[in-house]
Amino acid sequence: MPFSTLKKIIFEIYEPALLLRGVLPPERRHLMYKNILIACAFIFTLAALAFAVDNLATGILPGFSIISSLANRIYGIFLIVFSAAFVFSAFEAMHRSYYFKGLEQILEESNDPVQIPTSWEVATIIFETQGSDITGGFFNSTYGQEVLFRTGISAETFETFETNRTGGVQEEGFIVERDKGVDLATYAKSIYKQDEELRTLFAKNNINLEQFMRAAEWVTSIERKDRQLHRWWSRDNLGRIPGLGKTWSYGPTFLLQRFGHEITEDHIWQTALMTRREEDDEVEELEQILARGRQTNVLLLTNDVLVARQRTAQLYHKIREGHALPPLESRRVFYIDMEAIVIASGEKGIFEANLRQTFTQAVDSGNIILYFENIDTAIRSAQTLGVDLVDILSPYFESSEIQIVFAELSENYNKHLSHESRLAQAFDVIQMKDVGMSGIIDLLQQRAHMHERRSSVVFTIPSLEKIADVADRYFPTGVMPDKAFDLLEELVTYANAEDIEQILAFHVENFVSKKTNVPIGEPSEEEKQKLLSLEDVMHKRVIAQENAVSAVAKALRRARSGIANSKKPLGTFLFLGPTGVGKTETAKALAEVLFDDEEAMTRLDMSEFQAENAVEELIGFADTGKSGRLEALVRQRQYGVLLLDEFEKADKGVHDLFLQILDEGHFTDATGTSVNMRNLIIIATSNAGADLIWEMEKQHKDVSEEKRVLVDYIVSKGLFRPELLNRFDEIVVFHALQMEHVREIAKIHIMNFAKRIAEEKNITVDVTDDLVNYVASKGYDPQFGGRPLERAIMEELEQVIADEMLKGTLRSGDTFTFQSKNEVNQEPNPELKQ
Amino acid sequence: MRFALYYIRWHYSQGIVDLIGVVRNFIWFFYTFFSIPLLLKTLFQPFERLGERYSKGFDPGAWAQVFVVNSLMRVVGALLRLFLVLIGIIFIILTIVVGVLFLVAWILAPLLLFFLVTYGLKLMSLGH
Repeated sequence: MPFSTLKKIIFEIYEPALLLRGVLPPERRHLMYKNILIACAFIFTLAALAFAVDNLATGILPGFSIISSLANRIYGIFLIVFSAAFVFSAFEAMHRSYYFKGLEQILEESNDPVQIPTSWEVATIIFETQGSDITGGFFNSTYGQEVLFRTGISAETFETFETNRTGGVQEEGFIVERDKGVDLATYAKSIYKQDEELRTLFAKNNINLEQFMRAAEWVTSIERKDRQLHRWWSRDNLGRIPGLGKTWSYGPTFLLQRFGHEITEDHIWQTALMTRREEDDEVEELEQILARGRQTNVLLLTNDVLVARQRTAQLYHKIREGHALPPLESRRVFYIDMEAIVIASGEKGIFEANLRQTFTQAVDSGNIILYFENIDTAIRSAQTLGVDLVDILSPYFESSEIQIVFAELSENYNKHLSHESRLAQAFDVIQMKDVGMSGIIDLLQQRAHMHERRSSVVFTIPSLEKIADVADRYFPTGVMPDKAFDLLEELVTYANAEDIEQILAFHVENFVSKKTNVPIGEPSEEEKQKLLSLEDVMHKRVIAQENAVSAVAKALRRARSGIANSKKPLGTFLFLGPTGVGKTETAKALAEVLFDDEEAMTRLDMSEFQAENAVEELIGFADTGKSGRLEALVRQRQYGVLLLDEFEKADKGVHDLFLQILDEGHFTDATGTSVNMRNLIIIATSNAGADLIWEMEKQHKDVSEEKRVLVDYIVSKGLFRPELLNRFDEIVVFHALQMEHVREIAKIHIMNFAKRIAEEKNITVDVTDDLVNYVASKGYDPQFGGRPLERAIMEELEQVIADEMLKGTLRSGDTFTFQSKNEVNQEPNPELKQ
Repeated sequence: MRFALYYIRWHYSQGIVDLIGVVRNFIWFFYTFFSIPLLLKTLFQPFERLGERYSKGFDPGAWAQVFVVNSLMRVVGALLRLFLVLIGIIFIILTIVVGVLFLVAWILAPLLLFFLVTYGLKLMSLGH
């Protein structure tokens, strides 16, 4: 639609209100209106006093005779001021009449709701646009500035852009797109598409069209919510006032309140209201089943029970508004915490009695829908008390007096409950859809606005997207969107403490980085340097193995630059090579470089997981509830390096488990909870094929060049399946160590020892070539690489120094110098220099 | 001038529609706030489902006792409900009366304003 046509439509619909807005801008009008009402109230009080003095208290209140003498004038002034107040009220009423035009209503007030082709926001923007500059008009208007703010682009950046731009969209030739009508987001989209310079500005600030439109939609939704609240006489607002006598026809609910709460008191209640127009089909299906004459029980299967609770709350909103099917009228929905009944009861008899009494009360009350979550856990908890929960509840499943809703994770249901025929017969199953990332951001917008009302903090669209992203990725425990809500709340506290007013994406990254100690977001200069020189830093600890170190470093740079798959672990490597060639050391070095902490490496000896129940040992036992080793380790350290030593020795089932972990970055524990491993670097080590590596070394072949041959060899031996090997980001081959490498390693070990003894005992060790050569010769074993080195240092150096110290020939402040007579192989002959 | 014309047009068209809409909303509100349809539908049900259960077996005395108690609960329930329904109806009637008065005042607003201002000025000029 050409801009001129839109302008014409807008003026046809809104002109009276826009004219009033032009003559008296909202702030000024409200101030004047407020003042005139105050004046009116004051003069009314005076007039009432004058009337009282004049007619009722003549002579009693002589001090007020002056008021009495002015009575007629006061009455006169009151009538005039009252008339002015009436006129102002009428003008305000007219403004509101247009301002509320086309406002969405849940409880419709007319049989023929008005469809408005353009929104009030667009009308005011066009009215406020000076000249023919459409882009400038948009961003300088009240709503446009709010949209800009929500994108996170600063006003200064926009001012610079405005000063330097050459063109911009002009009134002439500007075509406005229309979807259902022209709202703020559609208008914003039209400008974005037709203004190339604006697109460049947004691209520089990492804002795309979708984010820009989302910002506009958010501003619109906040504005509409405000308008809906202002319209206090609407049925939506009046209908929220709890009525009288609603419970007189139904029984008491004190037990339901003891073991649960009405959904209206749940934290999800408001969110449910705000988001309920989406995925209405699930709510309708729930409503239809519950409204049936008999067997009115529903099992909601979901990937997140919160979604199920939200849908149930949405149905309750519908019931309270009088929009639900007639059999559900006056129904109340109670969330019952079965765990609370188990805990409060403690023993079988009491538990059964409590359970029966609670359900009987619900039946007697006559208008109750009971909602339960995690029924699988409840059944198990009841089992611990020796109670068959399903058996006890079965009679109530048949009752037409109550409706029961169970919510359960699909995964748990499939694993543990799908064989339970009593449930399958009594319940209708609804498989719920996931909220999805877009839905989570919608929820976050609602939440963010709730916090914004209470604090001075304001969120932007990129910051909410970042919250949704990092909450899922870096907080492995808990479910979405709960994790995102928690993070949002923590950010509000953080922003208040740090005096941050506008929360941007990088604030979220900084906060999460500080909280988790994991580098997130754009790497800092220092980190960039560290990443670029990763090989050098690692080589301070890892001797030789250039190809291996380089392969690991490259993979990590890929991961950190953000181009790697975010649904997988940070990095996954299989280190192949003989014993003692630096595989573990490389993992440790990686932990130290990336997480500034060697302890960030967790080691799991996979040779311990060869038995048939190895997988259960790792993920936990479903029957006893004992948690698994891997699960415990990951929960303990969610960020860091996980070293799987001697991976080839693990059971095939364990290999299958890791097939999923390497692919999807998570596994499901025995209780059906997903355990996130996406923040880990997983390194599996194996000396599978070590014999072939030896052979290659003998033939002076470069083992890293012969990787394909080695992999084929390992597969042919049946040590690993090809699909598992393919899942690793990189298979890194470590070559055997030569004497010169062992010397270097020995030197590092001796230096470390020297540093330690200097700090602890104030004894200086003179690290000479002789000493290094001697220790290296003692600690080198072609079969075990550098592994015997530590023992050599202990026996050949530490022991000698310890003996000297005991003899008293080596004291604090002394220097220990190793001196060999001729050959490296000579026995040590330490000599002291005082 | 254009604004004045727009205003007058609105005052006697959409303004009246809006006013009637507000009155209708309040009538609806009192109708639901006092639960009139629900209370009438459940008029003779025992108050908060209070009552006693009939015992099993043949015991006319016990049966009669339970019957009297339960009937009493129904009577109490009906009286309380009727009382609330009556208050609700009074509120609705009041809303209609106030609404009609306001509507008349709205329609006669120009005359009313003229009268108020001139009478006000006259009072001011009268002095004591």
